[in-house]
Amino acid sequence: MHRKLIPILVSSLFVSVPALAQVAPVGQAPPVAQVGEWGTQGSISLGGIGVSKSDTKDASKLEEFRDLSDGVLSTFDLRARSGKQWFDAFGENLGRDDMYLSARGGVYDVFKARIYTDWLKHNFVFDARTPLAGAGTSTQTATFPQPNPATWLTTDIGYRRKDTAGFFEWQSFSPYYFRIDAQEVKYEGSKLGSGANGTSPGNGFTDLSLPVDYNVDTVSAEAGYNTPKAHFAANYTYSKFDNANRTVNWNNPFFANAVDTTYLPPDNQYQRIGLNATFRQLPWDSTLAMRYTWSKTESSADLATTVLAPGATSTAPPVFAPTLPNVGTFNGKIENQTFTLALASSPIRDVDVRAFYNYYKRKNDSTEVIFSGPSVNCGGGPCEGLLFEYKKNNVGFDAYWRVARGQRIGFGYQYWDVDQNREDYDHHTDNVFFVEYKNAVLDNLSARLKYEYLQRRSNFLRSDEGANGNDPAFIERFVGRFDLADLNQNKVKFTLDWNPLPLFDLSLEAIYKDNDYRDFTLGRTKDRRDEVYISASYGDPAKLRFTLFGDVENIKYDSFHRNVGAGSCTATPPAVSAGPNCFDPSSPPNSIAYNWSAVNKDKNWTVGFGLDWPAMDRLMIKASVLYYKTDGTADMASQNNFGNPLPINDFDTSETTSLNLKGIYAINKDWSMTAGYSYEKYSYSDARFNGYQYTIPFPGVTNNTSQSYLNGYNAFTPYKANIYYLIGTYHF
Amino acid sequence: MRLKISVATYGLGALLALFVSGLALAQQPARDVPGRDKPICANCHEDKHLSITLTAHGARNDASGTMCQACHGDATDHLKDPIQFKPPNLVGKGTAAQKAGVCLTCHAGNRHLAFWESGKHAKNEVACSNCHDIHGNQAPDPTRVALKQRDPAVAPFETTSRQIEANTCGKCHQDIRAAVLKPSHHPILEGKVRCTDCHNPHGSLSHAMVKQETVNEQCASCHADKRGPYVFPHPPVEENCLTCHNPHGSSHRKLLNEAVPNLCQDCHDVARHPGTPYGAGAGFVCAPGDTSPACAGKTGAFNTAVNTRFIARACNNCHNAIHGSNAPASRGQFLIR
Repeated sequence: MHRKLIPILVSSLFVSVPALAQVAPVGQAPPVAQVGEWGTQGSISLGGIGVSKSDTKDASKLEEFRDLSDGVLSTFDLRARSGKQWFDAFGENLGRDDMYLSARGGVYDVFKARIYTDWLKHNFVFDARTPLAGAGTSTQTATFPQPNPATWLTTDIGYRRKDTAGFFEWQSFSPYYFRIDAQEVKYEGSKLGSGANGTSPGNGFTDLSLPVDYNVDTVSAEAGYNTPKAHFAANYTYSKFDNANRTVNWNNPFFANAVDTTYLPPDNQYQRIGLNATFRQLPWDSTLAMRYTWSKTESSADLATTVLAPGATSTAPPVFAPTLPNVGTFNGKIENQTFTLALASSPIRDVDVRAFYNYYKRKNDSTEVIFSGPSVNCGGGPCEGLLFEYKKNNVGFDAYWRVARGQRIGFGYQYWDVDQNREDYDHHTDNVFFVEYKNAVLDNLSARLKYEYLQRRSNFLRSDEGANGNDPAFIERFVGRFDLADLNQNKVKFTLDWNPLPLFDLSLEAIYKDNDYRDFTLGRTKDRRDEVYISASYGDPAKLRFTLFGDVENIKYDSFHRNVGAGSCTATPPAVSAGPNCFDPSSPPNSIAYNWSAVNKDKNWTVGFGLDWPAMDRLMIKASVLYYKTDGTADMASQNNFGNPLPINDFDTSETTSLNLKGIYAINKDWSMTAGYSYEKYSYSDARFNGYQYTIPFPGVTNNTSQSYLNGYNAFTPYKANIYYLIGTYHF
Repeated sequence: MRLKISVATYGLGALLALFVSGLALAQQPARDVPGRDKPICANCHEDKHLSITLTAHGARNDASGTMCQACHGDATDHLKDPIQFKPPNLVGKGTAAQKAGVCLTCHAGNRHLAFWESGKHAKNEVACSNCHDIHGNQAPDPTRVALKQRDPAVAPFETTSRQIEANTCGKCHQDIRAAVLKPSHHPILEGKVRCTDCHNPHGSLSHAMVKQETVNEQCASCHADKRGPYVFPHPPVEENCLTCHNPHGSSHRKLLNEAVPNLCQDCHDVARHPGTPYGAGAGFVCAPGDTSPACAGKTGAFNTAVNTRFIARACNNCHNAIHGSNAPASRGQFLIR
């Protein structure tokens, strides 16, 4: 029906349109038409799109966010103004998965309002394979083993998101205003998931297609007072996330097809209160701004009292072991408070100063949960949830001095003091300095150089962990997590904008940043990035516009690690022993316990060219070419080459080529036609996906209970696509 | 599917009705909005007048060109002798602060501009006219504010005809323009996520002019499923999403900053599998130089010792609930259910 209806509508549109409208030369807006007391402008477009895909096994990457199905393309827009009122409307891709409709309007100085719906699809895998019936639902069943993927089911993994929202703002009591926003976002479909088969990482895993049936409703209201001298606003937001599925039950191959459970995001409620105030035109041309926010997020979950676990012996059937939670229900409750104060001033001529203070507090009043089930413990003890909290204070200033015409010097400093209750760090301070120089002495040249230095010093809590090198906890003394480890950071940024000719500009941007994580042996030790971006643009809208840009980006992560391939340093044979003090990185290496290092590199570069060329009075040509290359690698080395870690030559290595060619031809003053062709090519190589197999037998396990079952995600995404479209547009 | 058909049917039907009724109602082509006096400035600058006729600026204009002079300055002398006297035109020729000052004369009362003076754009001498083009082409989507987009668009094929904000912001923020082109990205070039969904270019009291007060509150405003609170949280997740993700784009899936398992191993380095080196020898196929019993002399063949902690989603193959879990006991604490 869909496909039949479209041609009828298209033909009726074209047949019914007499050539009596007004103006539509390419690149220029038509004049205003009079409809009653309204002046209007608008257009309606209707056409078709066809997409051919070659050498494409899984087009989910090509269509990750786009609806590229063959069919009808449609667009409309309308602008209408009277002396007192206004109304705008726009819509595109009607009936397609990426449809968008929007309308807004109002009465000047009385009210304004807007409503829209915006659809999105997010595809992860097309024709994913799975041995489980019921993919994307809360119950997924199979009888394992299922060693032959050819007998499995196929499913698409992805979801559709429909965002519908609107606002109403009352302005007639200006400078007072009141505004209310409402939004509903629906998600329907599935997303990627998986589950470890057994209790050990050596038991393989099973890919799952987790159901996505979410609903997020949000309303907010704001009342305020706004004048050039002062602004006050108070707002309240309530948002509710509903997940139609709490769990997914699936047959676990390791546990003799017993039903295992994967837990999905819980329903939650979020509330926020915000208070804003700004005072302008204060002494020294100052503006004082402040903001206070309070938010609370709550969730609730009934805690499972049993969990699937192995039997007492290796041959015994699996059991549902008691988890022994200390409470029956988990009530999550996190409150955040923030306060910000910012003062912007010009105390003397040519000097601008800004000072600021920020306070953040996160309080976690969630239920403290302890599972003490003896057979499902965590590292030999009960499993305890962490109630993560923090308190942060941040104060700083920056100052800019225009030392001469076109020259400006800036410098600034800020200090962070952070308390938190992580197990490895409880406190850190950051000192951040910057200095910059900007030169715009020449009218057609502007350059800016900025240097920034960050020093972070943290209080590490695990420096006494473990009794000695034979204690597995001892290794924690040497692990510095990069998000909080002591850090010295240097960052340099240079930008240059030059207009050597009228309508022609050149720009250069270069960024260098290095992070040096200090005083730790294991974990990320350094990372560095250097980036250069250049572009050239010429723009005369009446004649020719083009842009050419390119960039090179190098990112490098250095890390150092310790492999201890046994649970004990001094086990009694036949158990494997890793050697004395095996958890001490300074102990002599052997084939089981040794240090190793990795250097991950990402080298990316791009070149792009775009052209808008009014080839004739009636013909506009738009063309662009884009090439993007990512090249990921990892060099690895180990003591005495134990473990023989081989370098990874392809770590998300890809090439993307896009070519767009579009012609817009003005048939007459009312009609225009757009014809376009696009070519897209994507290639991908990665050591984690090359040679992909849907099943992985675990070495040495012959009964298939530890076999892994994969769905094909990201394995077959290279594509080539030719896209054609033809659109007719009527301007009124 | 049925819903899709219905929407297509009714949507196109509405389109047709709108179109036909528009024709029926259409009167004589006019050069201006009915009931409004043509500003005197239009006698010479008609193209500029027409370019704002159907905007809020044009709607407030009058015969004496009040709105023209609101931006370009007092034109009294200019009207007497257009050659000798020019309006001050600070909005075109002034410093960034002067240009912004002209706009703020009227717009200081706009709630979106409440923190303009405290924002980075004001600090870095960015003027309103760097992003907005009052007399430029109108946006294809009139329900959004038109942005200055001087350069031709360079991007993969787009199914939207809406203005892509990143084309405006990327003119200065070139590193971000490059990031959004990466294979893993938010649907920014697809027109579904805008820079202003997360940032307020008109000024914010938050770092990087993020609209919400913290990064995590910003991310959770769309990713409500990540809000938790969970029995077993992952502290870096609770602290800052940017520890693992780059929202502007990445060469690694899921906007991750670094390839997994290495990203995870940068923090998790303990006995057994978190501290094990996973090189090319852990992949599906035997890599060159692999002398292990499974692959010696079998380069390119299926690796019977393929490691499930390296291939596909690596750590996430088992640690599926990386953003937090309500699963019981060790299944929850180790984020595997």
